[in-house]
Amino acid sequence: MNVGDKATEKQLDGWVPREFSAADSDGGGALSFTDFLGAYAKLKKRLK
Amino acid sequence: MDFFLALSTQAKVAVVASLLVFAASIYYLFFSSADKKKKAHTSTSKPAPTKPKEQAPKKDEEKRQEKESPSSSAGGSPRAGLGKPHGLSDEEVDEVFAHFSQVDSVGSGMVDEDEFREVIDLALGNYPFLEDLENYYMR
Repeated sequence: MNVGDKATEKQLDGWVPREFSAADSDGGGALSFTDFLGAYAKLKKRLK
Repeated sequence: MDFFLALSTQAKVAVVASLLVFAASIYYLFFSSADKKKKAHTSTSKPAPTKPKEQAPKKDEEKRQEKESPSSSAGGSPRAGLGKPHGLSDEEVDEVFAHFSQVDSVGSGMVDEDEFREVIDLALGNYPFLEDLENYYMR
């Protein structure tokens, strides 16, 4: 798993649900590509 | 004149009436022929102004087709411009979509939390900025 090299599974376990719920605009439990793109862009801005 | 005065009243009326009828017929002949000439002239010249009217809609249609054709022939990515609100280029959007559709194997157009994690996992090796994710966690 690539993630293991950069971040631990535990770290991702905490991060993924938080980011996912933030990106899930309608709270439907699934992200459309538009939602995903928004999350991607926000993450990119934050990490730059 | 003396001859006219010598006539009876009935004869005078008849003469005046016949003169009026003669004048009316002359008037009618003259003006009716003039009207006919006018009508004939206008009927021959009418088709001329109708031609531009017929051509005008064609020009409008051509213009409309010209306006439509660049967008229809341009084609391009269906996701073109999708990243604009986020400041992302079309190429970057296509790259993200490639990862997204790779995880969305069902083709539903949606990803759940596990799939989201997979996309991030895939992305880590491809998006250089995500290499800082570890530092982000350490903050």
